Amino acid sequence: MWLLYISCAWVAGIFLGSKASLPSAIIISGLAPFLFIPLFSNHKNYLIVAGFCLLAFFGGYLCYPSSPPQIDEHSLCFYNDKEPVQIQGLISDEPDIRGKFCFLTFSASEINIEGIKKEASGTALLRVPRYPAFRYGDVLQVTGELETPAPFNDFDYKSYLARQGIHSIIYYPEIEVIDSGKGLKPLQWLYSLRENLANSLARALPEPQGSLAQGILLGMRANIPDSLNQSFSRTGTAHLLAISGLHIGIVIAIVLSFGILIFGRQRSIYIWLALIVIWLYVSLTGMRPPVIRAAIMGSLFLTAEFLGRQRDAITALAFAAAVMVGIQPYILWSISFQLSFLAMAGLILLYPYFQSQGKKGANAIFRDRKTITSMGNMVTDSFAITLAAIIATWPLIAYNFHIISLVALPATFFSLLSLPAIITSSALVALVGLFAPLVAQILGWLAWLFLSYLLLVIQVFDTLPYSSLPVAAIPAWQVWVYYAGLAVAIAILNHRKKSSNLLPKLSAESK
Amino acid sequence: MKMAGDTVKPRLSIPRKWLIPALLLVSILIWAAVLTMPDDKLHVSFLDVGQGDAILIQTPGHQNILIDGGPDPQKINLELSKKLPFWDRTIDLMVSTQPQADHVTGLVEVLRRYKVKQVLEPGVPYYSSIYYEWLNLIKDEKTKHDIAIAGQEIDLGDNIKIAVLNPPSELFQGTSHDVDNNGVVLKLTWGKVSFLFTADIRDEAEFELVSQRASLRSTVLKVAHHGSKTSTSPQFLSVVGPEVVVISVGADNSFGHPNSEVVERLISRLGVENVYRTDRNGTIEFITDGESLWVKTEDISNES
Repeated sequence: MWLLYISCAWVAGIFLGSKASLPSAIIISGLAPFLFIPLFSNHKNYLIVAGFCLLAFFGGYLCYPSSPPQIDEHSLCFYNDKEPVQIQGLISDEPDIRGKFCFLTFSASEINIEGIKKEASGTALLRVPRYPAFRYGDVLQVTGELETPAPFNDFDYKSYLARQGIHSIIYYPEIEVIDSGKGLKPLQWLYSLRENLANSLARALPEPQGSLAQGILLGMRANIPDSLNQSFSRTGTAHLLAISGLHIGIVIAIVLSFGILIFGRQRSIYIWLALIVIWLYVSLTGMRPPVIRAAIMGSLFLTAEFLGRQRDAITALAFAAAVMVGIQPYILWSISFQLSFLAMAGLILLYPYFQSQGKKGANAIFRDRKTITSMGNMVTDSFAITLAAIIATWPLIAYNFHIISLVALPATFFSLLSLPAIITSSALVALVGLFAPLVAQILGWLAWLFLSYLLLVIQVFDTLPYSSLPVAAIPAWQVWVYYAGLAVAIAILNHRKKSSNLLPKLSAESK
Repeated sequence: MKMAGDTVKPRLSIPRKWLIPALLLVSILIWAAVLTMPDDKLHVSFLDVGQGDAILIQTPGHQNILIDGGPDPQKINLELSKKLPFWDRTIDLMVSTQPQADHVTGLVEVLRRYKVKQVLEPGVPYYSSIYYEWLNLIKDEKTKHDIAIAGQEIDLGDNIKIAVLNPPSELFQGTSHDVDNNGVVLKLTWGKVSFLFTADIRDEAEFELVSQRASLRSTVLKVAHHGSKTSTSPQFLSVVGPEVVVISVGADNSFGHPNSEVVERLISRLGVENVYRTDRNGTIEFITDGESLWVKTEDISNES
């Protein structure tokens, strides 16, 4: 348990670090509880934990990079909003294709001002037409005007990019390709594999099924039409398109459900199976940070499940969050991080409760008929997962995206049914398409069927009246109140469970 | 032990359990394939791809011909997927009427996604990165690459023919816009029904076609250059004598297409109900059996 408290203190410290500035000497106050140890030796353990928590809190606070990086004539953003410049550099990330145009992450190495070449550093975003296509590792000579990212609507684009280390943007520069293949070899290989997998999906499937498969399987959302994206948001199913914690959580749960069906109670087999499936999946999705993060959380969840210790799962989750925030403080503000964290917490804390309730219900209805009961359990499990994740995430979604979906539960439930089939069949299409495009095309018919089913579900729920409510801006404190209330409810639930000595069905099974 | 019983039992029941869903899937697929089978009519669809041209011809003999791809890689794929059955990934002939971005951008994406058997283009000297990307892809995919010259004829079977009317064997030079005037003009004929696709040609090329006494008379005319005022001269219009015209144009485009004078000229000649516009009607599909002509449009709510 102490690890949970320390992790939380650390994250809270980092959060405070962004809000206020205190002298660094304050960390010494973390030592204060240790001074009391000789006085209250009965409560030694509490004092030690309290001391470490304070240390973690102020450590986290100091860890937050509060001072902006030094800007001089060698940094790229020094030239923002001035004359056009000529820059040489490398495409340092996978191109981000968006319909008609494309974003390139461009790391500068040299800048040319009025014929004088200077060493330069810094990263700029290039907005370029979709074609000609560029690749990770291309060395470019770029001529254009560096601009400070301007906010659009009420979105603070500048700080959003700054958190990723990008301080400048160039719109439609003149580009000359000097060299290619200068990136990291494994990444180059991975990105080109991803591109080829995406191409084989695109070749085998019509639209929008093809881009939907690219989104669900590879996390490439670029080709998905806007209208379809909006339908997903309105029906509360947008998470199906983003490979986040929820997505991986659902994949795990489905593998587990099937594992139980096939291997019976040999827990270790299907836990290993799920772990392998997740990490195969992560490498397929291009090892992007959000996916890795979600997969680490998922793996921790699975390990906790393997050990049969629910409480340890939440500790591990907090610890994982603390480590990730420690490495990159800015992800604390990334919505996908918050959502995947909350969805995972919801799964750990609420899912067992809903699951046991659902099982009770299924058993009461179907009694002795074993196959039906196991089918019934699969259905209630899927419902339990969906409900747990929705309860944990809807206020944050409402706060950030100003939308509350009233059909999220049934829409997610019916979409969920097709998700394992979509992932399996489109993975087959993508892989086979690398070697035998014709075979992939035939396999594509199967994937097409499942994807069309998903599209149908989304469209049907989207056209229902009152499928979603637009909400006005919610004050942040209301969101905090909701989560505080939820935490209290979960605490009461756990307390009651403990006092009546009613173990959840899942841990009873593990014995 | 208990363990053994638990693992063996479901294994035995798996084949039976999975047979029903498997058969169900196969039968749904077969039904889907049957229901999307092409009929024995000729379909000509003016696809709604925004500010640009894209025309899909589907013959009763199962051939797909795509004339231009519009400016948007995403839209052309969505529109093609609506018209082609899900199992059909072949374009028999791809025509780029001219090398500019509003014609060729979508074609790059189609070339990447579909098996294209043959391409036809005017081959005028023109540099743009998108056109070169398209040419490189054609080279990579080893697609048959032909240059269009007036006088060529393409036989699509069932007496359906496409005649190439432009560019002339000696390309236009020194006109107001050589690239536009050298655009590929095609005439599709089946029995009593014919379509004239005029790309982006301007009045110079129109005049040349009229003076050469090319057989221009057609039932359906694709208005040249998105209804720009530099095309569709009254003389050309009276020689073609269309019953229906289509303007392929994007809503609120920055070029001011279509020109109001041209639209009025068309309406006063044909009546407002025979002037179709992709910005108002969405994708416009003509269906013909060589005798009669049917039109299918989408209703567009005010989307920009």
